Amino acid sequence: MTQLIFALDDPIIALDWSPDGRRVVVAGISGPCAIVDTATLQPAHRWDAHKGGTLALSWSPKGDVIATGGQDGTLRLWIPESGALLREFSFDNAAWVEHAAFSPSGDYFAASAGKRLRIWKASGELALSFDNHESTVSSLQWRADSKGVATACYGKIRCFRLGETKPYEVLDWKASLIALAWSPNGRHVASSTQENTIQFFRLPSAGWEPLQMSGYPVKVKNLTWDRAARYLASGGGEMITIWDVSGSGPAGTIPLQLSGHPQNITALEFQRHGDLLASGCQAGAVFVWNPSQCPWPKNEPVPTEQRISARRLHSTINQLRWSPDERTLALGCQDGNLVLWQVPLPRQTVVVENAR
Amino acid sequence: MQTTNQIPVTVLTGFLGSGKTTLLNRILTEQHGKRIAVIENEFGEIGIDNELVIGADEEIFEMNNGCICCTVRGDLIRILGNLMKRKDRLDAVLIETTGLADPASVAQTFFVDDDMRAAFRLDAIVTMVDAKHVWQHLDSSSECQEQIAFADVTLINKTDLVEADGLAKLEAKIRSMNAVARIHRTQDAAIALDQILNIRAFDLQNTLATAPDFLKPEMPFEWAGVYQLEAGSHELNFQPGPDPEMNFIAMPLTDTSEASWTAAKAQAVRLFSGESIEKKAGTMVVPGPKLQTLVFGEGKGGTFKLESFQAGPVAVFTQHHPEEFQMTLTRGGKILTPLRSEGFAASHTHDQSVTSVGISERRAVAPEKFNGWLSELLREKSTDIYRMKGIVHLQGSPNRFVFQGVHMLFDGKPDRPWKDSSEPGNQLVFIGRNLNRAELEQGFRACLV
Repeated sequence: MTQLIFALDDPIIALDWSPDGRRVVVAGISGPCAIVDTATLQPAHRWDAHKGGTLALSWSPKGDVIATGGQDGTLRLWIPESGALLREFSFDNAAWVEHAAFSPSGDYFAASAGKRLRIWKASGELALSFDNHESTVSSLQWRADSKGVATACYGKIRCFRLGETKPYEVLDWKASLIALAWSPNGRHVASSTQENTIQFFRLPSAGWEPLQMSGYPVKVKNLTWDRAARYLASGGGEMITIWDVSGSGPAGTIPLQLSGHPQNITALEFQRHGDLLASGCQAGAVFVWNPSQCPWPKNEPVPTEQRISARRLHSTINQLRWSPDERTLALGCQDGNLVLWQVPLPRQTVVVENAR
Repeated sequence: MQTTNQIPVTVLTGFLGSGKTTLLNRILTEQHGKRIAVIENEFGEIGIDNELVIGADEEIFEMNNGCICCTVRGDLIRILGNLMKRKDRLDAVLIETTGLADPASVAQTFFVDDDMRAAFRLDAIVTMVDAKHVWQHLDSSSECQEQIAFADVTLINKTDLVEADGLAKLEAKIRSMNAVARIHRTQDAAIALDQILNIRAFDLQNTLATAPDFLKPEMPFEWAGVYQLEAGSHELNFQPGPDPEMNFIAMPLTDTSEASWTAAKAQAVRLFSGESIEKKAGTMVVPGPKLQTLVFGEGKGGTFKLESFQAGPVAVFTQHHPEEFQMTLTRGGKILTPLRSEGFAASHTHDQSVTSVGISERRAVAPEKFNGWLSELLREKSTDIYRMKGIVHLQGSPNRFVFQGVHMLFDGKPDRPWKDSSEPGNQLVFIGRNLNRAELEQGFRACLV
């Protein structure tokens, strides 16, 4: 079995790959971080990143720096080669730094603490600052073209563009918004709510009413778009629900449902260049699917179990990330283990361009 | 829903200056060997460096679930969502709320959110009051009234600032608003941890153990007792209490048997609805089958002479609980203790809007009818009903059905089986504003099989 394990001994709350796929950085909920060699699963460095606990991390796409956010209210930059602290940024409030992400280009990094959003240039120069969210920022995501970010909080989603001090889009929905997913083509923003629903917003929003998708048995914590910005996969219960936004969808359409997870979905990610979707659940099951090749239900929802690979671990899958070459899954577990799983793919399902 | 592995959550409410921070500091510095997470309502308010002390911004989110009063605390969902994943298990969580906050949104968070429900169990709402200064708010501040109404435990703190009679008066006032809360008197917030953490106060069974009189039949008097009197003069003393006058009966008994006691109570009920004779403080009261109104005057107490013509047992019935006036019966300066006494649910109020209503009934309930009644009640009265708890005897079920609610949110589930055939019965408690006892009783009785 192609499986390697590194024990961090602390529930894994965040992880990221180095851009060359040779290392993985993991963060534990009480604060420890480790950089692990993916060939040997030996830790190159291990250190305590934040007093109280680490909450977020991001490895620069340029490879030279790792950003972490923590309960101590700081955002810290670390040198991957030595694990040494490079710089520290504060938000002038005592809130947790819950979100931190490098832009896909690697030129900027964004982070939020409480109601405050900051974006810095890779050089450390402040590029954008916004303090007026209605409540703590619950989600933060970069636009695929690196030109801006979207944030979610109670009642509002805001889209910011670099170089402008105010958001260029403010999407209203009176609810506690949780997860946020911005489609790769920039045309849709989906957000889940505390009331077990998903809202779809179209951009630009003028003239469009948001669409609400309801019927989830629990609140949806995981949302992910496929590379073509056609499918939005969502957790929320034991089934994965996939909406098709092509044409007039998802209004009035029946979603594809993937079943087989014995417990609630806890992690979900589409490949960035391929069609495969990976999912993990509370019971430790990890499945790989190809939704574009699943039979789409016509008149009523008929769940399918048509998955192409499966692996069973013994602990809740807290984090799941495809490697840069999209052949390996890094799985961060509640029991403190990092598991690398080289996904065995049947020949015909190896990624083919324009498969649809 | 599991019940054994859930971490108990205690909510601490109270006005600024009531002693919440003192209590939290005490809990964090005492050597109790427990892992207790404390969520303070302001960053850095507690001056103790401890990774389990977390500051929170009160973020109250409305829920679009068709209920106008349903709110949850978004900050708690995030913070506790993090804490529940940690490797070292917590023994308890203590959440401090600001003085003006409605504790409902905190309580509702643990009913509404799936993750919170699975990992945590709302154990108790603890309200701290400043023994001296709470009087400024008791009648005027709806927040203060709500905090007392919501409480499972009330700590009357800073007892060193108030005389004993003032404390008794305050306790009686709080008891009249919330009949089932446990009340503790504290100085410098000194209270044993096991009185406020993991006490399972949301279980009505435990609640009733501390307020045994609450579900007793409603009588026009709150208290009755039997004294052994000598022939001659006795003195009845009253300290200033919540009312300027009180109805009273002292009635000779033929003997101290159970039968005489029961007969006397039945007679007293009839007498209480009849004419009464006014007695001014300082005058004489003679035992006999008649209702008397003892007049103290506004804010005053008084002494009455109780003249007994022969030695023997005398039953005394008081409209209010004698504790509210610190009533004593003395002979030659010596305080007499009653041979027996019994408390009853109050059928009156001191002209206040926040009260408690208890219903006790043995017969089984038809599940559909009960469900319908409760749904309608929640729909129409949920803004006024702050808390409700109950143990219900559903027809055809071998198990107890237990429920609890905070405003419109309701959590009910089958519980353990009834122990034996004598156990099944219904016990319900409602605490709220402008509650109509007759209507609640009538509504519930209509659900009986």
